[in-house]
Amino acid sequence: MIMSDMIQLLILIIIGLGSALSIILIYLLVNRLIEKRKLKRLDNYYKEYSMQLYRYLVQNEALPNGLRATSPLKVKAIEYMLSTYINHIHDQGAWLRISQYADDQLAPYYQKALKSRKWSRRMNALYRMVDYRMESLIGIVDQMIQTRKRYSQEEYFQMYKLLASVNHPNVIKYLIEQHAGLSENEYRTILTEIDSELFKEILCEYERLPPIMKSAVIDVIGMKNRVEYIELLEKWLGEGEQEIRIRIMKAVCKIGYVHHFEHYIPFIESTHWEERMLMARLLGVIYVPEVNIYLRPLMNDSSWWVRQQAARSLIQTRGGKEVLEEIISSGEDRYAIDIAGESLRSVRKKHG
Amino acid sequence: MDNLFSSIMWFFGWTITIYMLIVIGFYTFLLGLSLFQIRKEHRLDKQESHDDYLQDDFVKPVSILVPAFNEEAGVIESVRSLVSLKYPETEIIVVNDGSTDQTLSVIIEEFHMEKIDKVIRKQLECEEIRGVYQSAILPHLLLVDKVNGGKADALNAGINVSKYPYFCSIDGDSILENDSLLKVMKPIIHSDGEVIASGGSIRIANGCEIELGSVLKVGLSRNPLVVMQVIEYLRAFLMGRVGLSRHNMLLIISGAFSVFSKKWAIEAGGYSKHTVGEDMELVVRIHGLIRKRKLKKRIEFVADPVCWTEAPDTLKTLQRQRSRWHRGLLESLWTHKNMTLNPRYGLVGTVAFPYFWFVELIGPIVELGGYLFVLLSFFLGEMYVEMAILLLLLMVVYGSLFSMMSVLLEVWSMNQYPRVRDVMKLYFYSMLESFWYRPLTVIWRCEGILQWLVKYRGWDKNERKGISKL
Repeated sequence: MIMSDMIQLLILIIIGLGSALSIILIYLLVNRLIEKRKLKRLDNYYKEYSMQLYRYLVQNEALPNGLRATSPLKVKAIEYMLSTYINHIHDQGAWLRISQYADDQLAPYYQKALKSRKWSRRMNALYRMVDYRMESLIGIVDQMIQTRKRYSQEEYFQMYKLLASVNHPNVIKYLIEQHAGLSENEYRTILTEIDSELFKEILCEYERLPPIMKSAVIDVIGMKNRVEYIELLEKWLGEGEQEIRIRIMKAVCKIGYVHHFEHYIPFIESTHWEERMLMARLLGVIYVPEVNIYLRPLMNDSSWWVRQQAARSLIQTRGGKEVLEEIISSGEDRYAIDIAGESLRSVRKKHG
Repeated sequence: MDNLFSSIMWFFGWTITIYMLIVIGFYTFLLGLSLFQIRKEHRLDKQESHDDYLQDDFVKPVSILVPAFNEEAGVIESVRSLVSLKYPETEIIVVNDGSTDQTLSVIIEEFHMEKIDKVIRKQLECEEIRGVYQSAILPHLLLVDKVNGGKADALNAGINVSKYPYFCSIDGDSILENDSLLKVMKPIIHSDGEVIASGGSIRIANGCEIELGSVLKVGLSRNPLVVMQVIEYLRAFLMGRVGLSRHNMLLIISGAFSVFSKKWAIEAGGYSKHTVGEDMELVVRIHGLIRKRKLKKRIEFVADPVCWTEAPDTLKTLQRQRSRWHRGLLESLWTHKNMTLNPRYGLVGTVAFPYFWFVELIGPIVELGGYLFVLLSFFLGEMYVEMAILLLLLMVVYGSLFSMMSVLLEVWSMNQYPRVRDVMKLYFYSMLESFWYRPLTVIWRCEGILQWLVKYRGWDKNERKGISKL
């Protein structure tokens, strides 16, 4: 009898699983109670010691015994207290003491956590080490990167970030040679961390960089307004592919200064609308004599984006508004008239 | 004659049994995938992982679209919750879809909206736009007033007006958490644009304490219908979508809150006005485009709850919603039937589509058959009782056990319900799912299929009460 067997089996499964699930539920709920108690103890600890920690970190007082991380619960409490400080303290001396304190008290715990088999535990440890700018475990992290053991991409990102935050020389090598699968966004974060010396070293290696990192390097130059690298950007402009060129133009727009304007002129008639649009933007932020001669044709561009950007730039340039008005009164290109009208009206509105 | 009848009965009985076994197997597989993912992130400090993305200069700006048709009760709360979103660069575009109530004037008054001149680039077809307003107190808040054309049409109009490369659509009656947008955008930012659409978990707001557009305290409604929907959502999001997302097979990311790359949405033709399931339709079309162009783009899902929405709390409104959803599902599957089992569309064609046809769409019909069999067997005598018991047990596994597991998954990973009483309630209700709620939804969904067959295409709108009064 197949059916009765199946019924029996199903009943067994339902009862078995049902009770197993119920036990798990009870376990989870009990666990939650314990957590709640822990939270309460954490809270008490916090109330008792947060002022003392503050005096220790900011007013240079001696470290009270209670602030030594002697149990996992205390580690948690200390992490919690520190997390409120790290976003608000900007004083260099206090920061040194935070790092020092974390190195003294928390490092052993994180060292253990780094060896944990649980990904989330390792990640949390790395997050904290980056947060507190801890230096004592740099050596271990450096070793972790070099071992054959593969970590997740998220971990590599945090490890590199940690190395970058102390300007560790190896970080360049890892970035270039180890393809940890970082995203552009992550490269940018790391590149903004490192100091200008290391950054210069990366620039020397530019040719060897993977394309995704090239873009990140260019972005960071723009983000940080590094005028000194304009000539370098202009050199790459002539060599790069379209994606790189677009990045360079964006960076230059941010910096708002060019060295050799003639390098850019061909892109006003580029076949890609993105390049024409960026040229329209660039013409609005840099100083070029007779700039409206270049901007005027862009108002009749086939791309809406280019027209819109050209109109915005014309608002910025000397004599630009007259050009816009002339476009409206000439009555030739309907699209150009629309966008010119909108730009002029928005300016008038702003100035009442 | 008797003989023929009994063979038919046996045939049906066994077909349903085998079907249920296959589906249970598939759900177990999905559950396994989800467990793996959730276990990995268990106890991870999520706040930390979000911070990395906030500081970047290169966070991608997002236009938030709020289609509103007769939402005078809830729209202000909704906009307020959007204003407090933690995200570097957004614009909020409320689209008044020719409301017949005070929606337009309520917004104009509350946010001091003023009419502006704006050249609109019509990239998607939509009904006539009567005017665009901008708020004098919140410059990044826009209001589009247009002729009524339905939700999809309103969203298309919003896309036309929007200026940023990503947009997110949100229902006028939903409440977001302040880091919702960040959570949903994270996969997109992180992947440098490889992820082109992403969505998060939707939770039910009924029973929560809500004030000034944010959820203060999570609670559970007293209404059994709502409690069952809470469980249903947990099950769908924690179990189903986490698993499907891992393999880029997501065909549904909820319309209540999801982000799309504008470029891709426009190339896919925007939202379709001819279906009631416009959000699924768009996702399916984008999937089609990705595979056609053989690009490495993905659609992702994040398990974190990001959006709280008002669930229907009467049988009638729930019935309408469910039959509409199912009709939408069928419409989309039917429109893109050529993708089914088509290897050109990768896993979406070979796994996701068959899954949606076989499990999601046909499921209710088979289940209904099962319930009918059980009912019939009591009249037809002992012969079929054993089969009926077997089917009933299978339904308990299928309905109740999986729901119980979802509740546990919630308690273990997200832990959103602080009161023990609420958790216990969820657990006990989930045990009873197969005995009353499941049959109801099964009937409603079959109704949806029926509606499609008789070419009924209406959009019975639920009446909103306004979320703050729940």
